[in-house]
Amino acid sequence: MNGNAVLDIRDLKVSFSVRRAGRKYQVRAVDGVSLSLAEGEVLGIVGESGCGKTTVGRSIVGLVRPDSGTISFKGTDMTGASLRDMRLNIRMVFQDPYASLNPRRTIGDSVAEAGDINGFFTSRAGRSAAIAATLTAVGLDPSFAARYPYELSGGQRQRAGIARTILPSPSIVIADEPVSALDVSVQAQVLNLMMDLREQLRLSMLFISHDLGVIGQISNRVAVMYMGRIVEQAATRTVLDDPRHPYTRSLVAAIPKPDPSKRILGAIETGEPPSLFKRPRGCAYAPRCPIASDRCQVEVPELRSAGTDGRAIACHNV
Amino acid sequence: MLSVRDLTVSLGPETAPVDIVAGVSFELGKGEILGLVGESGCGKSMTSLAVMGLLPQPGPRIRAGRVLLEGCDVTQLQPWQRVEAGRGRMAMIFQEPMTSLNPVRRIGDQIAEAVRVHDRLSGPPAIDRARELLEQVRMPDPAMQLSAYPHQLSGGQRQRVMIAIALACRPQVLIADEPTTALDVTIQVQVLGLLRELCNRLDMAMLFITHDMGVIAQLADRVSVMYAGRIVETAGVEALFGRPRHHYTRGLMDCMPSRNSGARRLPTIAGQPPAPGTVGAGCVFASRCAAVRETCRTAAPPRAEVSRGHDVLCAFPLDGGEPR
Repeated sequence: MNGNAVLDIRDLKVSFSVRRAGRKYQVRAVDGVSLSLAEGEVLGIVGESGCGKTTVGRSIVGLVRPDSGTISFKGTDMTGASLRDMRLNIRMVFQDPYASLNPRRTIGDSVAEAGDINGFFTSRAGRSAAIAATLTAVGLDPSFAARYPYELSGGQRQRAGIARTILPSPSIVIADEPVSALDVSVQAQVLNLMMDLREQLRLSMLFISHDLGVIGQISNRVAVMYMGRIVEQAATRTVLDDPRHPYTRSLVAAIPKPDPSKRILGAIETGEPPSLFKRPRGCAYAPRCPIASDRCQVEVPELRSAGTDGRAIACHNV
Repeated sequence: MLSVRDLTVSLGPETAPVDIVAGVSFELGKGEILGLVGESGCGKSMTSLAVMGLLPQPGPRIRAGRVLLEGCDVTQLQPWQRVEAGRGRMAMIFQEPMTSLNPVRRIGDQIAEAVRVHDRLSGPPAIDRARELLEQVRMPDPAMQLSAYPHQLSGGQRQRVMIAIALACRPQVLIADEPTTALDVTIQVQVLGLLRELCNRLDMAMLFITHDMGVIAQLADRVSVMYAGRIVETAGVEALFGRPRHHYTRGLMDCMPSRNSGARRLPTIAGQPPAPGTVGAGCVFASRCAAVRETCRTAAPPRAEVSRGHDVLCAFPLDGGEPR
């Protein structure tokens, strides 16, 4: 579809089987997602818990096996490709820097791991030099190589996690909530670092987050997910300044704004997402939607192009 | 209503105490929402636990200061003594409702338990009151939900149950410690709206603790900003966001992505907060402050009222000349 797409996902479907009260259920976490990531682009995926955004990311790096759909990297289908090669090109930054670094290995060993496995280093000195260079690139002193994760603050750990991601010079980084566990002053430092690295290393990035403020800062384009499907997709400013899908509208309206003139004065009742076990027959947003019609109850709206700026919306009524 | 004066909470031996909350003072009036904002480890949760009388034992202790609920110092009373003394009209809700609720008991029984303690009701009248409390927190289908278990509810509904339990004591003061941090934004806005409505309707005061400047701006009437165990700035919400006077407050606002839409780089605050116990004689923010001067490193800054109801702990506050 997109000529210079480094990553192209077509009709991805992922489900999990869950056992509840002795019965087995199939829960569809991702229900037909198509995305393409252009070279050097940052595509934000935003949505609330359980919308399937993390599952999309994990499917791309092969941590989850999709039911159907294709994922291609620079034009080649990756389904069934060698995980080892793929994982040097497409790498992931995880949310929790406490859980994603092995507590019993030094930062240097964790950072160098991908290189060790793939035989990048021919000498001890070369390995140390590579570790030092990578740590410097993420704003850590090379002396951190000898430290253990418990000696680092949250922000430093996330920098170490990023160092580990970029060591084999990947072309795509999948960042899953990389700054959500950090305090706001540290969050800004890590976001700046990611923007710098993206430019210096010409990375393409899939940036997954629940936080539209963070997404707005870093991404060129945004896809909004709700219950396993993309409901709206457009350039970042377009989505933030002029959301069209009723879910995107309520999401943008709900972002806490540091502006006392936008005070919350009383109760607001906008409903909650339905259980994944009881997915509505039609549009998944229909039960909460202020503009839902009869058609929305029975027919799932497809994502269709709307406007010239690459905007796409999945709604019968806008 | 609630008056906290020079509250100091310390860890470590009596002879060498480490103050994790150092001389915190604030006032809370009827129906008012005071936001207490700060980053992890700044002492905001410890402040709230100390006010509630819920400091973990053994562990941190109140070394100095008073917590006056309607003029009566409650720091000397255990929580049950507070209830017996008629000073139990203070309740607290937490970030993660699942860890505060008993997973194997129906929520109706859990609310009724609080009703039994505070209203001395039992049996069907207690359950009736529980249903009424669920109605107050706008729980959909309250009569049905009485028999639900916590795992059958969504995160937002569980937080509503926690608020219902908190309301059982007809609180004059509700302390909310990051109650919406674990919730999605479209659910968060509903819980915030509910809390605002309850404060208005029940004339209840609320101490709302959060790290999120956006939530504070949209909910609080007044705001205290906390850093390294101290309140560094207190002001009405419009004055604070319009003209922050402390360099830390200003820094916190500047690094929020939503205040910088489109900016190439986010401003940051260099460095990290000091570890407890490493605070020297000077200002606690001196090591990270862009406008630091020599005296800041050696002398504790004065608390100055820069305008009516707006005070700041800084020797050289930002000038309030240019509104933001």
